Amino acid sequence: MKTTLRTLALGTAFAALMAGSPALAQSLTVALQAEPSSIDPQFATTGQNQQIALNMFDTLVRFSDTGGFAPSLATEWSVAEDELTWTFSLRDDVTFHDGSPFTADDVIFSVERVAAIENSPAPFAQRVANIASITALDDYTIEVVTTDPAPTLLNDLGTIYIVSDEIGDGVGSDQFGFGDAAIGTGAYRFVSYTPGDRLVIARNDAYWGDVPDFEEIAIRFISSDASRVASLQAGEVDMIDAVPPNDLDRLRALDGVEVISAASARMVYMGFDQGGETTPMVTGTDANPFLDRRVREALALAIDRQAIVSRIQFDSGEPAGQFGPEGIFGHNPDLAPTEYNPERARELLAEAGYPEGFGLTVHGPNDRYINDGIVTQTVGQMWAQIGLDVGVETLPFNVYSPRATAREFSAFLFSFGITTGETSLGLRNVLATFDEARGWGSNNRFRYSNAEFDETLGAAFAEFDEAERERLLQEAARIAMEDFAITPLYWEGNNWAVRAGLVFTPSPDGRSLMTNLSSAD
Amino acid sequence: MVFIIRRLLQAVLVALVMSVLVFAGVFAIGNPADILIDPEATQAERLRLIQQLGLDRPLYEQYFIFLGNLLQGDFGTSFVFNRPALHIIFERMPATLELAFAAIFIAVVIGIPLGLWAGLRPNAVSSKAIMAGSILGFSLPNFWQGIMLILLFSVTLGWLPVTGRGPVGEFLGMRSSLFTLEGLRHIALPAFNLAVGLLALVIRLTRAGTLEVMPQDFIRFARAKGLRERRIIFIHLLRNILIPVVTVVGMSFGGLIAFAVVTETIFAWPGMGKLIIDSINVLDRPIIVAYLMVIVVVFITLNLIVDILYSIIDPRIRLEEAGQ
Repeated sequence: MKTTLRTLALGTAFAALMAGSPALAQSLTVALQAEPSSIDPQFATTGQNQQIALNMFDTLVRFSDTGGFAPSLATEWSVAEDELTWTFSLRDDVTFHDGSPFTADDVIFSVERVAAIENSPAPFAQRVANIASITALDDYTIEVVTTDPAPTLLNDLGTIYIVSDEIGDGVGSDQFGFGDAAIGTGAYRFVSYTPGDRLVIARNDAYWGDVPDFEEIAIRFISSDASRVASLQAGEVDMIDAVPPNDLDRLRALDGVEVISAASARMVYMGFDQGGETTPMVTGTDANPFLDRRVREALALAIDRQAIVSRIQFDSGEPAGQFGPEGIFGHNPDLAPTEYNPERARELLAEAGYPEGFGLTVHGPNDRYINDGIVTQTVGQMWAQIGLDVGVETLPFNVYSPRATAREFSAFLFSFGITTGETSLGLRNVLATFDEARGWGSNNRFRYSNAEFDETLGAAFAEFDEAERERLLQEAARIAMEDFAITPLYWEGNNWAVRAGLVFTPSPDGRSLMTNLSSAD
Repeated sequence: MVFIIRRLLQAVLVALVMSVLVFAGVFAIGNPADILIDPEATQAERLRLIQQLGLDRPLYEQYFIFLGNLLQGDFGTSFVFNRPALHIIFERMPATLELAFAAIFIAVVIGIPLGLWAGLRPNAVSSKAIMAGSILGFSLPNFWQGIMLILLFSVTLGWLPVTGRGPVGEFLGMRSSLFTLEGLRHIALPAFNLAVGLLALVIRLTRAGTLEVMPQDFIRFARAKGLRERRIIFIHLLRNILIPVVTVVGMSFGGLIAFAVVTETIFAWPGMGKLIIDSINVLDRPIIVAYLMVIVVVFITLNLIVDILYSIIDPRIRLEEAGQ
């Protein structure tokens, strides 16, 4: 009998091996590049925290694949005539991982908890700052009153992660990773967390949406690119994210490995200092050449974006001509990336009074974005080809970023990643006139300022009609891009690799979500 | 006793100087606010956070607040994790310590026999190969060695896991991944990677010692007495060459802990080294300061232990003199 059992077990194991399908194993190991700073979904809005939180926690609404919002824990929402009072209907068939039912009280608890979290470097607090009151009309209906009309309430309130009110007041973020507070309604539930090493999550069989294919997923954090790729090749992990572009061709050629690529909503751009009559890194002229729109246009025309994407990024990513790629609310279909045209660029420079060019030191980070140092050098060389006397300096991001903010650079590489599904925050923080009192232009390190743009964007922030709001955002993008406020280079590519038998479907937010991972059969 | 107290006071002073240097250093790099704060945040939110983290105060004020908290045993709270810095460091310390111990073990257990062999047969081809290998061990960059080890043993041969720490076992109340088979499989490559530099050093020291001691009179007398070669090598020779080896290994321990950074990053080892690199990248000053102060304490403790060991091994050395 014993022998039979063993033979049977061996046979099964053998069959599983032959089938080569990880789904049979039911448990996966995944390696991600970035580790969250906390398991508490409400601690920080950073990308690495949210891509972990989304596996275990739900929000009231989610970004739909076509732009705009789709129902999640909330089924319907509406705003009253006064433009201040919102009503949300909630799903009544949802339970938390601990079995307790999800009700309006949990939403209220979650919203109130957000404001109470202190010392977070990227708090959610601003997303609820506009809420004057939130009350439960019944177990599955909530009423939210805002202090000012807030057309972007869905963006703000809708993206707050809902935690269980059973965890009680005053529960610190620590209690999520190292205690028992990580109770959500999401597709996976929390199992264990070892900082610097791994997070283990398991399928929530009672999930209200599509129940995942996998019993358990161990998410390991491997920051070294080479080691992450090697782990996949050695068969130790079933999926990796952030595949370095240089390895893409090699992995694509491997049997048993699938590579999935998609452009992200992180736009990499060159900014030009337009803040004063002089600029620190330009020589050969006393004036600040970037105040002249023709110079900005010339520098935009001089860049061969397609070459950067195909040669430096190995075809990962896409040339950009504006903030939001297709699928992001506010994307303007009429704005194409600037065509590469060095002859026209030289003409424009001559027209602007710089037939001999001028001296310029270009700055960029060298450890932040994919191949950022090489991209900076390439841009510098392309500008040298239209007659500028170019020097290039690349720096580690922790040195670079404070200097860029202190406005020590004239032409420099930066990026903005959209995480809210629409272009409004990017336009406001990067392109709007720098104004501390109003809270606009906080990332406007080059001090672009255009009254018409500010006005259009302001109108978009006050508009309740979705179609009109989208039109205003598109218009704002057009104004800034036709003014060459910045020079968009490309949308950074996201690359994942999975073992055969697994399917990874990227979502527009570009996150490495376990909920996007399924079995092929 | 006076000596130990003096040493401890010295430690406090060094740690203080260190904290000033780190504070000034991180301040010179730039304002952590720029890296830490969410680019989507509004200006008001930024200002509130800068205030909350105390980054709006002048540097000396921030430093004195830090000192005040330190006197109450508070090393500060990480900007990124919002958890006590010391707590985060101690959480990761066991992983680094076991890696360093394993590396020392490998360096000694492999290094001394190879060194002996090379010293006893200086002209043999095998000895020349060992010495050439030790040169490679010194000169090849650590990260490259690590990646090559992964490619060979994990990807091509598939013998050992690529990265990570194995499950933790318990033995005599100590918890370490060294006590499980899977844990040993995981630690083999990173420990070897970390050990290579020290291994090369131990080989060379042992060989040099052997070459120096073998022609000496007491070895000849031992031979003349008719002692067997094995006894001569393992008792008379080894005892005499071990003193410098023990010193070097002891002093290297601190270095292995502090320089495990590269190995830990390549092998995704959840230790302190990976933490400090991540913290430097985002200018998480409380962690950087606390980490370096912990390292200072480790180094000073090791020095103290080595000094005390000296006086035990060789009574001619007195602690008072060693302390001068």
